[in-house]
Amino acid sequence: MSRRPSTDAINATDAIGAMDAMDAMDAIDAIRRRTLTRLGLLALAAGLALVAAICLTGRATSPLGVAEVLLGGGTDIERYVIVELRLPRALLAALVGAVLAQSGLLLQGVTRNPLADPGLLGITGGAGLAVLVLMATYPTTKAAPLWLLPAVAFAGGLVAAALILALAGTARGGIGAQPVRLLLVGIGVGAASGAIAQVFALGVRNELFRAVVAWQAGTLTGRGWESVAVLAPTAGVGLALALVLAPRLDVLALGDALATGLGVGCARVRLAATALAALLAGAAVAMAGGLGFIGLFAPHIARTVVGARHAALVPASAAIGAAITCAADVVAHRLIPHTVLPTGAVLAVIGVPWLIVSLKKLYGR
Amino acid sequence: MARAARLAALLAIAAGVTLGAVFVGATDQAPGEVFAALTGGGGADARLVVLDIRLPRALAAVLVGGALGGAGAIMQVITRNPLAGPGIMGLNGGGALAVLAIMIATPHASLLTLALGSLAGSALAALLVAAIARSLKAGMTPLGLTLIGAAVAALFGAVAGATVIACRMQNDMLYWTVGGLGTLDWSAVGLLAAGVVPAGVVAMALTPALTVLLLGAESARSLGDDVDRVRLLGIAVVVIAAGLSTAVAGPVAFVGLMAPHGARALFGHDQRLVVPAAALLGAAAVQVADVIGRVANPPGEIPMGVFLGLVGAPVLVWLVSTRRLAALS
Repeated sequence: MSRRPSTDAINATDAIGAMDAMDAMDAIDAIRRRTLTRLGLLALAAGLALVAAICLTGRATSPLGVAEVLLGGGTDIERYVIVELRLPRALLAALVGAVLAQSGLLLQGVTRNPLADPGLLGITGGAGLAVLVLMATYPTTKAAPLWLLPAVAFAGGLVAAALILALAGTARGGIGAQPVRLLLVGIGVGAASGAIAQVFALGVRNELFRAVVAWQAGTLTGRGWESVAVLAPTAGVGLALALVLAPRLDVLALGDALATGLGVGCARVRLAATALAALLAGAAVAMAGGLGFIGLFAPHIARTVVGARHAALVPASAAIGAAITCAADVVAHRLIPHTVLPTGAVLAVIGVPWLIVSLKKLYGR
Repeated sequence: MARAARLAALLAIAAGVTLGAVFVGATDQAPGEVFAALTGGGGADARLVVLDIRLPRALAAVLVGGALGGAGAIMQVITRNPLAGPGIMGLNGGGALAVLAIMIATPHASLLTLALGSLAGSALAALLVAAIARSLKAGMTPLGLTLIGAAVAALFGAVAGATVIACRMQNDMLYWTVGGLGTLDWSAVGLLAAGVVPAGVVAMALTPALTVLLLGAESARSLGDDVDRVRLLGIAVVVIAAGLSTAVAGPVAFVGLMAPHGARALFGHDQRLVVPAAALLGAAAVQVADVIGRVANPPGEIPMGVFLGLVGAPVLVWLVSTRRLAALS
């Protein structure tokens, strides 16, 4: 084949063993069709979760009722609740989930570490610290211009990512060789940024400290259409760039030696993917705080559904991340009546056992 | 003996910062007045501030820091993991979660109830981490163990944070959840001392066996030690230290991780010296963090746990990324 070697071909030969070229091409087509079907189903699942997040956060409303309100019916209060509160919140949950899942996928590709996640690696922490510093320069927490937050968060996330990769890279065997070490360095960097943020906030004003603690827990409360308007373009651009990087990430997965041999500049791809991961995580953090673990498990689920090709993994993990975050937000609303839990806590309750099971797989028994 | 001199110096430092802590606080008391109050004289105001507010708080800091530092040293030996500690392995988090649960169930629970609950929470957290670690022991490194502990601790922290926010307890509990010595009275100090002092005595009695345990369980057995009993008693001491200090001061992180490293740097591997040295270092660290928290941002207070995190997290990063972690195994 004259095309760039694709993992489709690898999957195909893997699946059906030795057979002649014609059959192999047919098999690749079959896998393509199957992947597309599955991506469609994942998109459907994300859509359903989004609808659930609109209908079930707060007093349950039927989808028909929501549709009626969106078409101009319903009372003023209903319109306000659906259009100004629930719809932006649900969309934000979906966007944040998609973006964080994307970030996790990129980081797992870059570090060749199945446990990588922007939260666990401390990138969210660095981004959060940067956002806090910006907020502190304004008289109230909400006064900082919303569009500036992702930019600052990007810078903070990038610094944290560089720090973690540099620190963990000094270990023997490079970054990929010691997945657990990388994670512990990340947890340490995350804890350090968190502590700096708390001290800083307490030094500035008490109101800020409360905001920091609530925000470190990861919450979608108190955000409206402006946040969606800021995050949506970032998410779109990020997804597009991730798709552009996807074939190179496939090659990177074969190992540095082979990738270099195939003409892929490993260092450049890593740099681009890490920067993109920091951008996406930063944008999410700026809007929703420390929502963790989506970047860990969304790509894992995506891999079991669509295989290892990044061109399919990018949209698949975005859809799964969106679906899970929407579902987590529903749980955060409905678990205890009349109380909204931080969405991040719900995700942590799912994410920690997931992390432990992943560790178990990594270390085998 | 140089090592005895070093231990004495540590003791002097811990005692010195504790005494110093009594002279520092939100209200301006002249050193002379503080001294008078301490020695039985002084005005009513000075006596109230010094004897009923500052002194119990300073002693609580000693007990909390000492308990956590010593517990960290014991944990690092028993788990053969230089990254172990009651905070990072989730014991403090488990205790804190139990305290929050009791507070919500019975808003006027006594300190004793909270302390017992905290003990149970710490014990359950220790069991949970041990069970998970056991289920994936094959190929498990100290780093992996620590990661499991940190994950469990993160889970407890997330649930505790959610609880505080969901139950709108921010006003009362926010400082406690990051580890802080707020308003303490003598009953809290008494409760702490009643648990921590006997635990310390048991810990000191265990130290020769702990030193032998460093050679490996097999060697310790062949030398006639009952390894299982040593481990069980050690874990009991750790749970008491973590549970009680969490009930009083919240889930304080990183003291138990850092103090033993300092102690080993000074005293090597003889646990008869390392454990008390770690306790003294922990006590001094908590005391200093608490004093800084009181004077850094008057009239507000910065909880000492935040400062310990500020120092401890980079230490964790340093230990993980640069140090050779084979030191204990």
